[in-house]
Amino acid sequence: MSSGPFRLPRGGLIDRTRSVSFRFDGRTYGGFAGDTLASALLANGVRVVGRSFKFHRPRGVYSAGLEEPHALVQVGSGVRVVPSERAPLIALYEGLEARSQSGWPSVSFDVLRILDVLAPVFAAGFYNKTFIWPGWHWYEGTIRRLAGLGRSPVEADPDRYEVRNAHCDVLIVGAGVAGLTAALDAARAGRRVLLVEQDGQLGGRAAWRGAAVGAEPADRWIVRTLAELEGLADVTVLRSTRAVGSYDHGVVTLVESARSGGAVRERYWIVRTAHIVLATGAIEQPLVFCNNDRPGILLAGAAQRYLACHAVVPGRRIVIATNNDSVYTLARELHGAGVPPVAIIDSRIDVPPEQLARMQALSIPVHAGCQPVDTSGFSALRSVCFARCASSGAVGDVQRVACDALLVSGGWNPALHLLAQAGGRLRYSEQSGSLEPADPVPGFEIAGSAASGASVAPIGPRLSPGKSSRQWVDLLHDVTVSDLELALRENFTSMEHVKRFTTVGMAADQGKTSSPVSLEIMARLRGIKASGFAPTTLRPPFAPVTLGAIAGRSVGQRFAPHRRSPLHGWHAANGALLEDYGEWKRPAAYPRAGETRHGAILREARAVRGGVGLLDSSTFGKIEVRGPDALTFLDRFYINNLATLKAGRARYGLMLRETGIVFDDGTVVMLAPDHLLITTTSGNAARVQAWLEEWHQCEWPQLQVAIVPVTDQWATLSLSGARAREILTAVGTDVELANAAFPHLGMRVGTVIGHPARIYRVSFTGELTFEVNVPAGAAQAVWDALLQAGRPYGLQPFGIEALLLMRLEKGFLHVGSETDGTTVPDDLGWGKVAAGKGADFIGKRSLRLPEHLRADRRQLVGLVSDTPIIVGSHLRLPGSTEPSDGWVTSAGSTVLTGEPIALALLRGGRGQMGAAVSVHDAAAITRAKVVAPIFFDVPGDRMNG
Amino acid sequence: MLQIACPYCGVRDEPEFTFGGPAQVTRPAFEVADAEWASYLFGRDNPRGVSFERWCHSFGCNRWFNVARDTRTHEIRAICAMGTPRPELPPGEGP
Repeated sequence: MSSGPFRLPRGGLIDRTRSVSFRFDGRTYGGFAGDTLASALLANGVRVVGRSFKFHRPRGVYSAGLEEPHALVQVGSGVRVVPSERAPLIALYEGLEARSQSGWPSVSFDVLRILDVLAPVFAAGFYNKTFIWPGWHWYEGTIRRLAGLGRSPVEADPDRYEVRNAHCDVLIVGAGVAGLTAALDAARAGRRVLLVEQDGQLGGRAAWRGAAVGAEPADRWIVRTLAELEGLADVTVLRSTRAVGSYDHGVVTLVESARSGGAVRERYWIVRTAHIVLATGAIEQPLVFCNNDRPGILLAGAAQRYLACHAVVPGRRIVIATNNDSVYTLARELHGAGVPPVAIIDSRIDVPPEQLARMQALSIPVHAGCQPVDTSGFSALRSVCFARCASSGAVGDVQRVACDALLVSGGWNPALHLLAQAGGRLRYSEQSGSLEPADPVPGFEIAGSAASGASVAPIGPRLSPGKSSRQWVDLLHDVTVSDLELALRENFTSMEHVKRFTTVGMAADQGKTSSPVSLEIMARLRGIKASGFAPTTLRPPFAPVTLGAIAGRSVGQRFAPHRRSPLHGWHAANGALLEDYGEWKRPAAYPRAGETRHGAILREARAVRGGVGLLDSSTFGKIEVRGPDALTFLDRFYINNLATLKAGRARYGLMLRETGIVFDDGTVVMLAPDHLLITTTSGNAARVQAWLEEWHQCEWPQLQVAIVPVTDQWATLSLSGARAREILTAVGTDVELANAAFPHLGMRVGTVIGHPARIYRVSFTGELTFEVNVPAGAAQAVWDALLQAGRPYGLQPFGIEALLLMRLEKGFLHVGSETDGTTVPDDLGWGKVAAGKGADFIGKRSLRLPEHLRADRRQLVGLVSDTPIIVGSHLRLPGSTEPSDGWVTSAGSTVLTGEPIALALLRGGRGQMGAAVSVHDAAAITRAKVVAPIFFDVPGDRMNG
Repeated sequence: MLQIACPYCGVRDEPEFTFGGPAQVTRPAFEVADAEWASYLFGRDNPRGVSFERWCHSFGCNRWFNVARDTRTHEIRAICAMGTPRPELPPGEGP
């Protein structure tokens, strides 16, 4: 297969013995090993590789690197499809499948080019000003389809990624000559060196430009330097690795792309280094003139690379436009390759005489003091117009030259992104037209062409006169000079605001070819010096990073650890429906064959109400507080008075934040006067422990207490129901269980089938309950023994959902359902308790703030209805003019009779008993009656029995 | 990602620590006026310069300590144990 009409017969670093075929937009092309997708497309004369973001203008390959604004393609297929890959960075391989991302039906015939004709309508801010009625969501889908930024794979990523941490003394970013030299110096000095290079090979531009390093040919110097480096201790060289982020205290993140066939697709490195050397080179900048975006217009440095590496020329009649010296070597190289440029347009009046002489010797005409002012051609460049342009804006006679490629160079901007990300300020240099460090940044050193901005010869103008609506500044986001003019008319003067209004620099390339020139243009429009005008903040990442790389192995099962009760194995083996409750996997219910989830929940709840059930509540947080001041300490955390708590007794309590907002609830149990234990909700155990520690260490260090979490040490088996006492007696315990000896809210220490046990009489079901706490290692034995002993009583396990249904029926608080970030105790009916406590406690003062004393606060009420009530429904009081008077916090039905019930927070709810409220959910409006928040066994005889 | 020298464990990475807001905030007496209490709850300085703040080595020794951090550069100027006096450093400018 032909490797394309724009491939030269000789030269390049490609392997001409190895042909490679690939597909682009469904057509098959040929290339060579050593090609990139971009070089192979250029070689084959594929001019249009994409459509622009907004106006759908045809666009061609523009660069040879990461800064590519046009050739963003979709690569691969199926689960390994990757959107928005830069064609110049894709190494060609056999069978490569790539697609352009925008344009419909295709990039070469795009019906949406109509948008370009309508361009005057689509100025900056158009979206924000136009699509506001009836709402952005109305238009979003269509606009997103038109914009087209590639498609993500929909299946799960099958590849493996890793995250690695590393430390070094010196991190060198970029392994060109400057980076290699810096690495060698540091390594010879015995420092731990990490050298990273984004390309697959080392040497940077020297590797392909054939220049000399000192007196030695570059390729020999590179091989020799690398050999010495790899022989030194503590030197790591990473190829195909890009530094993407630079953070506080010397942290730099890298993304290493796998060698083909590797087990890991990408590796994300988090490197901590004392010293960073930026040998990151510079990015060539464009020239701004009318229709400077046509296919066939590309950066001169890119063309130089395609010629040297791939023996590819972008055209047969080439014109070069420049404002600096860097293109003259290229002109000579093109001449040498048999494709001499037909003209060089240099915006400088005083082009250095030695350059003029060199070009004259090669018969290449140089038009000094001239700038391109327009181009023609649609899907391929046909000609360029240029003219002598005075600084006054006067334009001389326009000359037209036919061409099929225009190579542009607007100077070089050092790649200082990592410096800027770490807080280094950049400043525009009038001399080089680039952004340079305003002041040195500790820990950073800049080497090579990244540092040489100030030393280059002054550049000429890079902005040509002409119709500003056709002069592209940000090629990827279709931002033109006229958009910047509009921004100024709309009074946006800061570059940060201009960026957000026009989106200049906000595209996937993050302004790599538009930052300096947009700053320069805005400064000119404002009539100020660009050097005094702050550029926009550069933030990580420098280049797109896949989420897979950042996630590493923390996906699926490893995304977050699951906590499991010591009885987890039994639950799993006995048909439990294991669901996520915070970090815990817990049995929601134990459905039997043919039973629905809801059916199982009702059966289990009825079993408890009708006799007895067994719940694994090991997940409840358990924290021991020990020491002579334990009671004094804990009393400061609860709204309930603990001072009167006696050994062997438990008390329910609410804990607040200092703002007065309810934080957690649970029981406080006194094992001994200096030994207390509190329980917390399952999800809050770690937060409550941290809360206690914080107050002890920071506020009350003089109190002698030790705070020890024991959630995992003790399993909790809750035997609940009228027959609980009989079963616990039958299983064998030395604790006296009679009501008189062991009343509700009592606590006894003893044994159960020989295992040490702490038994609490607390109840969340509303039934007689013994919470049997045994060491986690004994949990299975005691659970089995209880089920065995309970068989004659019909004992069955019940899950968390049956528990929640029974507590709803009793109106017991569930923190997180009945509370949110605004709920204070009085809202829940606990106002009198809090007010009655004399001693101070955390949050007490806040309860007297006027906001917390308002009579129209939302208060906890019960609801009954003929129709099912849906949790989250909003409520309105009769005659209310408010959009909402509250909402349903928990909903279900009574266990034995199946009547719809709910708990709700309702404006002034306690004063609305008996009122009929309307209940609004997404589908319907129903009615409910406001009642007290308790639906079962109001006197509490069952749990006290 | 900051590097913080825990006074008990030594230098560790930021993810091991929890930020705890400003240091040396005095809890007012119960009797203070609403405005003063609200200021204690919600009023925070936002200095440009040295910020005195509390950190806890949550995934280490679980101990709280005080840190003086420059909000402009994230440079950590001083670290000291709870209860020790505030180091002599120029305070940051107001917001």
